[in-house]
Amino acid sequence: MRFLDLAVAALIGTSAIAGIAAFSPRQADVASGSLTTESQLRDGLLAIIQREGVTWLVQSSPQVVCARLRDLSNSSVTFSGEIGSYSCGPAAPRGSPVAILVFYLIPYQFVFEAWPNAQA
Amino acid sequence: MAKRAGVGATIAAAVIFSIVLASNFAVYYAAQEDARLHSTSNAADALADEGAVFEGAGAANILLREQAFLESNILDCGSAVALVSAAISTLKDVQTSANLTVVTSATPALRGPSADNLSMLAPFGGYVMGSLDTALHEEAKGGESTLGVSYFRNETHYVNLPARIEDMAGDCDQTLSDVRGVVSSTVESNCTASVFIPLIAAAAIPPSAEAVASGFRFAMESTIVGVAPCTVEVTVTVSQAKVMGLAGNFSVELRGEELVAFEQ
Repeated sequence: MRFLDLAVAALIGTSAIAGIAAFSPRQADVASGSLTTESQLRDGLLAIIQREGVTWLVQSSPQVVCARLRDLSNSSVTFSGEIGSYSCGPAAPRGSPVAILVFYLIPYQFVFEAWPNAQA
Repeated sequence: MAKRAGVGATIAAAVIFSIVLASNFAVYYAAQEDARLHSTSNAADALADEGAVFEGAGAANILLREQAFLESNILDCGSAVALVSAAISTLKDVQTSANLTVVTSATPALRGPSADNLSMLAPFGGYVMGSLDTALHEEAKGGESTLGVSYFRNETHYVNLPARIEDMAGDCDQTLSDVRGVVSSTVESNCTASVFIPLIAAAAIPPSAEAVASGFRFAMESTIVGVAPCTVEVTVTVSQAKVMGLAGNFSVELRGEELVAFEQ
């Protein structure tokens, strides 16, 4: 009988712990945080385009645009780009929230990316 | 007694764990709802950001095509304004992504606000009297159906290229008209260059001076193409150099030709 009590208690305990693990709010919290970061990064990319201006993008060589993205990168965020077939900056680390803006400005397709640095 | 205690403990454990589970599920549900709201807001924010960039890029591409058209064509003075207007009306740009499409179409602008909120297109934003002004009709459509987010925007923006086509055409037409007036009222039996060149040059002085004062380059050539009656072909070229364009400075050239005949 005692064995049965122990078995039932263990079953209840295990089921409860399994339930807590399965319905962990942690995953959703991480996803929300990641989306907030993505949104902030994208706003940052948009701010760069608005501040530098489309005229500057058209008149600058891909190398100059890339150099500017490098300058704007700092300890908390990294910007990278692909202008036509010219790409610059490192690839975004796997699993990191990344904001991407893609648009076409004659004669190139511009791909701007931003992601937070690990220590941020 | 011991059996009862065991059953009691089991029931108590079941109740406690159920409460813990229910509390955890409540937090889990709240977190899921929070994540859903974040997803919705992030999708809306992404569409708005992408829309802003697409609008700027679309406007820039229209201006770049206008510039390419002006650079690559020598326009006839008499039809330059109509030709440029017709060319502008055919311009269209489409920017697309997985969730958004922005279509920008252009029409010549006869009036508009001098300031425009397309700040990323400075200094070409807004209507400027005398410049080549364009109204851009931008239609953005998109959304994230899985999140119930939709995005629609219809806006008109005004942009300009400082190419003064109307002024140039006016100076060119005026020159040809003045030359025609002088030549048609001149009776001249001697059909030689030494006779007609000074006459034509004198007739062109006021309009050419006006063109130069406006900052344009002015050139005129005249050639005898017939002697009975004495007929001269006059070619007037008015150009605007160093026009500031989105892709750098460029030149615009207008040319007008006219056959004028002296009375003999």
